[in-house]
Parts: sequence; structure tokens; C-alpha cells
Amino acid sequence: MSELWKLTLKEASDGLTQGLFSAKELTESTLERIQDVEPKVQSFITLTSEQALVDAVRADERIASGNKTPLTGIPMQLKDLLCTRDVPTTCGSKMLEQFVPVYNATVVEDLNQAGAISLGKGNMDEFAMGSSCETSAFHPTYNPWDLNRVPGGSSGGAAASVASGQVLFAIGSDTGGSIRQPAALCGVVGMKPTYGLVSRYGLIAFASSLDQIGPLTRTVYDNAMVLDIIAGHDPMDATSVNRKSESISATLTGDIKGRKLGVPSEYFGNGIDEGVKNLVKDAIKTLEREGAEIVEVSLPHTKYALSCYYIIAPSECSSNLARYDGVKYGHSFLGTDNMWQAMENSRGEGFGQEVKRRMMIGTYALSSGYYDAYYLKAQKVRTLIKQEFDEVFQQVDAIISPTSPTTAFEVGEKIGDPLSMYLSDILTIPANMAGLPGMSVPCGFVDDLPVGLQIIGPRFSESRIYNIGMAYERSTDWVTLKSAI
Amino acid sequence: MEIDKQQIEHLASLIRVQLSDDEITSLGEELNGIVNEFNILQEVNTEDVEPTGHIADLQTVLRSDEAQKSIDVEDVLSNAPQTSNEFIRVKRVIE
Repeated sequence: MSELWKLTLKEASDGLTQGLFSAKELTESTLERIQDVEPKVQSFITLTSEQALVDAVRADERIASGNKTPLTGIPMQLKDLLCTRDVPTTCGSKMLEQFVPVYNATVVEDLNQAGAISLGKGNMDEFAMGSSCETSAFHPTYNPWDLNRVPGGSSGGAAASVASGQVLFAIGSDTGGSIRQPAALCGVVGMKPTYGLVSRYGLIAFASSLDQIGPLTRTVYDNAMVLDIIAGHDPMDATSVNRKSESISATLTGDIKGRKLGVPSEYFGNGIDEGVKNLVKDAIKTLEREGAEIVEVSLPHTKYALSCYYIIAPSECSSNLARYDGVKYGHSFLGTDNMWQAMENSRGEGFGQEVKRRMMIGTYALSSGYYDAYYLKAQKVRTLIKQEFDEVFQQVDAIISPTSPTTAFEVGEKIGDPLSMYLSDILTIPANMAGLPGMSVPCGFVDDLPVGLQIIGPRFSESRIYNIGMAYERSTDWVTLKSAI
Repeated sequence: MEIDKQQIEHLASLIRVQLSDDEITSLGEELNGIVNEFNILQEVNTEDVEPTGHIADLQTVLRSDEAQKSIDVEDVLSNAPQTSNEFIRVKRVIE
């Protein structure tokens, strides 16, 4: 069977169960696809092709012995901030260029146990700080729909690798939109789960109260299949929630009859591209035809979320990144005997511009004299944003909006202007502030570039969000359209 | 309020990052632009609003005080820039 890389995760998993092809054949097909398109897309930082073939043979043995899981033998990409034992984990930074973890992140362990096959580590903005994949210390990633454009970020490698058929799924992370925004810009499905649903152990931290790991896939169902494997309590992460986890994918029906969906006017205001707005409005009509009831709602504090985020996330990052001192691991400046000089040079050389910028902002917001006006104020506004969502979810089951204010922008267009780059996350940040699950689902094209529909629900409503996404996906044919590359 | 060059240098010393003159200039301009945007938050009435540091219903996690196997010394040292026997070598701390 040729071109196995074109299969969805579900189709591939079923094919492996039925013995239509082997995990080795599937892996070889994706590796051939990588040879064809990766030179143009550049979605990986590290490729682990040889190990992948070894793992594929092992997966075939497991399938033969009848111990298959839904992910056994399925090729994937892991964002390069997930610690992988014996495989370099750079976080997109020169600071960690030589870093080789000695343990696996819990999600990596879960995926390995399930028999998924890693083809390598995905490109990303440095320390996940960016919305275009351009702050990667190594190289940009290019959007498979238009190679002159960015894939979004920070999980740009993840979204581009799935969109170009190099892997059947990818794992990303989302602090202010880093799964959903690239998913929207690359025309794939991206889920940021409820804060605490997926263990963050072994995820290199950016802003710990906001970071969450999640899957990027071609279809909604595929996405639920991956979340089923990586969700769950982990004693190694004190914020991981201890609740009974049941298979989400097994219960999905795509039935949304009677579901109340809120449409917040604040998500359709100034700065949102008209073409994007129109497609999302069409999608809302489609959901209505599927039986949902559409309700207009208001989230007036939305306009404060961006400023709130750009105080809180940099504050947390300035603390988290203090650990990179050039002593225990990471880039080290050896040209002096002075301890402080060595540290300042190690950090000055190891960190890129955006990381320095955010550490400076965070330190400013936390410093005495400014703490109350910025950090404490932002934390209070965060409370209001969260309360406002709680109130809206008394009236509706989920919220529908665009994911990104624009389609993919050109490489180089925004990198010189941090404020315009920050605006890319204006519609995704509120869900992180409130710890809510949010998903982006492809909903059409403006000028041949993909647009994403965002579905946000109350905490732990992933199953409901997937059902809404599935209802939409079934009634359109976006999922069958492959990227132009 | 304007963040001046002296403040940028002070912030850089707090985060222990060596900045070039060009970086000091560009970061100064950028930070002023960004911090200026934050002033929008002053519009919001937050009287009697509790700050949110964390969204999860955090509870203190306890486990029994039993020794567990940790990462091997050899593994810990494998990423250290400079080692000496089974230690990480550091610069002189006390002059």
C-alpha cells in the first residue's frame, strides 16, 4: 500500500489492527514523506529516523502478540520542550542546544508505553515565547500552505508537521495559544486541555500557572484518541488533577442537539480580519443546523486579557528561567573565573531577544514600586476574567469564536514589532487565564490560507468540545483537503 | 512613566544577563512601548477583588517520608559543563 502517510490516525490504527500494513511500512512511508517535504517546511529540530524504525519493528511484534493500543505503531512528533531520555531537547534555544535529558516527560513515557513512534523533536519559538516559530534559535518553520508564511507558534513545528503529512499527530504546549493558533494557521485540529488534565512533569517550564500540553492532529477524533493516552493524574506534577479519567474518544457521537453555544461579541471586534469573521459566522450557522442553539453572550473583560497575560506570563518566566545559570547544565561561558561574569555571559549568549525581553518585562512588573500597579493588578483582573467565564457558562455549554485574528502572516512581517506579534494571541489567551480547555478546528480558507474555529468550554468539558468539533467537521469537507505542498 | 537606560541596566543586572549597548537601546524602546499598553488595566475597578495566582484548586500534596530512588549521579553530571570527580565544578564563590 502506498502513501500510508495520508491516513488519519484512526484509519492507520484500524489498518494496523486489521493487518493491512505494518507499523514498519507506515513509519517508512512517513519518513519518505519527510524526505520530500521537510527540506521546505523545516518542522523538526532533531530527527530520530533510525530509532523510529527500531521502534516500528517492536510495535509490529506487539501488534502480532495482541497487545496493541490505539497509538501502537503511529508516527508522531514531540515539541522540543518535552524531555526525551537520550534525545537532545533544546527548547528552541541556544541555551539548551547541548542538553540531553536523563529522563522522559510523563507524556513521553505515556506515549512510549502506548507504543507510539517518535520521529523526532518539533521546532518551536525559543522557550515557547513567540507566535510564529521565528524566535527559534535554529531556523524558522514554514507554513505548508504557503512557504513564504509562518506556521504560527510557538508549536509551529507540531502544526506544520501534521499539516504536511510528516506525522499522524504531534504533541505541543499552549501557554497563551501556542497549540491553537498554529493549528488554525496550518489547518489542523489543536486542543489545549483543561489546566491540570495533562501532567507537566518533564515539560520545560515557561509560565507554570498557564502551561498545558495537548495534541495536534488532522481530525477531531484523532485528537481525542491522543488525549485519552496523555490525560491523567501524575504524582510527579503537584498541579495534576486526580480525577477518574475515562476514554473520551469512545463516547464521542458528534451529537450536539440542544447544546447552547455562546457567541461573544468581543471576539468579533476590531482587529479581527473580515474574511476570518465571515467564515466563523458561517461555521456558527452550520452548528445551528446541526441542532445547536446559538446565544449571544458578552465577555467585557476580554480586552484586558492581553495586557494581563503579558504581565503574568513574563513574571512567571523571569522566575522559571533563573535556573539557567550555566553551572548545572545548559550553555556555559567558560572564559572567566568570576562567578557573576560567567553567569551573565552564559545567559547573555544563551538567550535570544524575545526571551530577554520577556524576562525584563517580568522582572520590571515584579520589582518593588511596580508590583502593585502591574503584577498584583494583573492577578486581580485575571480573577475577573475567570469569573466572567464562570458566569457565561451558567447560560451556555461552550463558546464559539475565531482562533486567530488573521490567517498566516508572512515570514519577517511581525518579528521586528513585538506588540503586533503579541496581538496574534488575543483570542486564545483568555482560556489560559481561566484554565479552560479550548480547541481550534479548521473552518475554511481566506485567500487559500486556513482559518480556525475556536471552541472553549468549562473546565474538564473536553468531551463536549470534541463533540461540537466533530459535529462541525462532519458537516464540512475541510478535513479531506490536504495541504498544497 | 519612562523606563530609562539606567533602569534597563538595573533590570539586566537583576536577571543576570549581559546586554550589549545595542540591546540596551532596543530593549529600552520596546519595554516602554509594551509597558505603556499595560496601563489599560488601570481602567478596571479591582476594589475588593482577590488576586488569582493559580487556577487549579491546589491542595498540598503529601506522601510518606520514604527514601526513593532518584536520578543516578552519573546522569546528573552528564549535562554539567564542568565536573570534578562526582561533583559539579563551580567558580570560586567566596573571594
